[in-house]
Amino acid sequence: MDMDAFYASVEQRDHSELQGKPVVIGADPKEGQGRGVVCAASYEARKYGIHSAQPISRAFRLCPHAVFMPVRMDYYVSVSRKLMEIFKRYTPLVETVSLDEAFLDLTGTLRLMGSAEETGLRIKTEIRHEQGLTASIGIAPNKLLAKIASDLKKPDGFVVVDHNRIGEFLNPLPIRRIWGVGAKIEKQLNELNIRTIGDLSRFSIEELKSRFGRHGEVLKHLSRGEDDSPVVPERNAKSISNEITFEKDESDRLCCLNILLWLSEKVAFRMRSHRIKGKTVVLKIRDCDFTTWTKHHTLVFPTDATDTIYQTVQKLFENNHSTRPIRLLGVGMTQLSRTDGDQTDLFKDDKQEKINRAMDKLKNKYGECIVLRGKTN
Amino acid sequence: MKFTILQNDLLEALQRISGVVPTRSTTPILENILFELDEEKLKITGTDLEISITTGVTPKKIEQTGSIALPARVITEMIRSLPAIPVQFELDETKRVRITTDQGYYQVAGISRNEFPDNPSLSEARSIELKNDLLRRMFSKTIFAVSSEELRPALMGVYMQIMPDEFRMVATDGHRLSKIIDSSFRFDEAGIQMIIPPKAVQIALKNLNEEGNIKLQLNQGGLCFIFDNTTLYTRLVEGEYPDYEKVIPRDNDKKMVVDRSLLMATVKRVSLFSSALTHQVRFSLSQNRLAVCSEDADIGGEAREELNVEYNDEPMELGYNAQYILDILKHVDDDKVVFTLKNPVRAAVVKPLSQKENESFMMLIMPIKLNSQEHQ
Repeated sequence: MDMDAFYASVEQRDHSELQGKPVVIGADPKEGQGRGVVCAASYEARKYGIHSAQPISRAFRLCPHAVFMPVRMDYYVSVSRKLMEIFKRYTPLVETVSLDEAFLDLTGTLRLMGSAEETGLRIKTEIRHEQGLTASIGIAPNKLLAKIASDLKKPDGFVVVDHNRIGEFLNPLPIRRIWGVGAKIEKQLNELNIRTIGDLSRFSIEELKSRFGRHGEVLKHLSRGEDDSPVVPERNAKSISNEITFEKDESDRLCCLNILLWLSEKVAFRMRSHRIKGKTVVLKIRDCDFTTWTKHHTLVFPTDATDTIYQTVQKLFENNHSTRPIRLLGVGMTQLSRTDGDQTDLFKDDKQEKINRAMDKLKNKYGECIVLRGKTN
Repeated sequence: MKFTILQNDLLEALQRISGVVPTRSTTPILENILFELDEEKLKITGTDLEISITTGVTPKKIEQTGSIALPARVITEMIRSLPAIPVQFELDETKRVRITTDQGYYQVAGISRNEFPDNPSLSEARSIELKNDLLRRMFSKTIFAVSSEELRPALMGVYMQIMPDEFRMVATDGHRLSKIIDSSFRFDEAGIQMIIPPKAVQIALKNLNEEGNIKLQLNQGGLCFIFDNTTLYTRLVEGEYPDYEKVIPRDNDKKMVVDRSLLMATVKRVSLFSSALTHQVRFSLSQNRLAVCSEDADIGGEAREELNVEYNDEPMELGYNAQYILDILKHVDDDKVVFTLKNPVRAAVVKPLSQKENESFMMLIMPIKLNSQEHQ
């Protein structure tokens, strides 16, 4: 399930005068002088080339007559909660990816609720009736296919992938539709004359492996629509992690550390918002030839503190003596538990905790990009 | 090198150094033991570069002096599995050692002495003499609180302070602290302080005699313990030890006195039902009554016990790591333990009800802040 232009649609729903108009949610454009970014854009605004994460000044230049609105994050959170309530009527197995995106496992609900298609249509209808919003839904045998299907006919899409016709469904699609295929891999695949998922699936594992290393095997499976990752509700998660693939392989140590700080904050924020703590910190690195490794460090006491996670990740990173440029970095926490207490420390005041709490408040109110951590060295 | 030694004499010596030799090292030579034989004695040495330990043993018969490094694991296992019989060691020109008993022979390749790291020399060392029993007591009352968290390296050791009129030891990992002071101690020179790694403390505890004195030699980076026929050298932990006196609360005004073994048994039972990751237990204090509870939200476990204590202040709810509580109680010699408290987020001071003569022993335990108290 993927909501259509979620933040913008919520604003258009609440302000009928905005319907059909280009709406941009984000920082104040200040007549083109603003320095923030676009958080979301309505479909009307997207026609002008405006998209999220774009500098707001650029968006203003592309479409000065668009309606620019500030982010009302706490409000979108509350709308998102209501969507979750609708999903929970049909299955307890809801994995929230973000405020406007979720996976639902309907495997066990057929008898009770009818076929997945029926349930999907009902959810779509309930979202429209109760929330006045449109969602795009993809129904498929696994998460990979469901994600592709939900993106296919946006907005207000509804795509069902028949498990007997996976090839028919996937083969004509461009390779960019696959998870983990970004501009860079796409270019490499294009060099091999691979343009569609069908082209990719015709390559043998060996050929792909020789070109992409272990990732080649993954690509092969994905190209055949194979994915066995389970739908995991966050409260049962075994690990929480965030990762990022660089647009260009990165060799600069300081730049990597900055990214690791940012990822640590993301992971810590998610743990804090779910009242979960983790004991083992995991660093994931994938270098330019797709060699991937992870390093772990188990702490003495579970934590959800950004600075503790970052310091540990930094140590793990600095013990890595490989000089190869890095393609992907990830930070994760495992050994999770729901805890209702914090071990206090003789030599640490609660300054860091207060900072975390203040940052979380801002993020819950204005969105995750409102406040960032910086380093002085 | 050629000598004959009794199996049990050699085994005893090997066991004295066994705690130091790493079983697997990125520097393979460290997995060996250095044998050095002079006209009177066999010296064996093991090291992990942080700590080295050398011990002497007298063979039954010395025929030719010499030295060689031999693989620690196979030699120790072999000697351990022999009965108490004489064992002959003989080194040939190809650096092989043949070990012969009346039951057969065993041959092993040795490594030249030159490849084994030299013993660190303690140039310009100061000497200190301490009583064995005092050092043993102070070590064993503090070592449990040493930090294993690499994020704060200075806390990864026992802090020893030798002052003109007292001898102190402190260890803390930030969650608990143990401090012991002997005030009968006299030292003629200016104060000395150092941070000793816990592994060295453990080995020292194993080698300290019940009675008598021990000589310590100290220089900038290292400390040497000179036991009867064993010397233990350790590098000291670098860094500055934090000002621990500053974090010891002076105004804890509420007092709970409790039977040590009773509380220990209670906490042990209740903590079986606490989260395996946090070991969190809750102390609910009321007039002369203490309830200890736990719950594990992840597996749905729960426990609660009550016991009588002496307490005459306002009711309080405190969270603790059960393992820290048990560690602390284990180190109290007295039947009665005194907790002094201030509030649920302040360190508790724990002491035996009566102190030994010339001794002041106290421990601190930091609470777990319970979520209901988060915004106080």
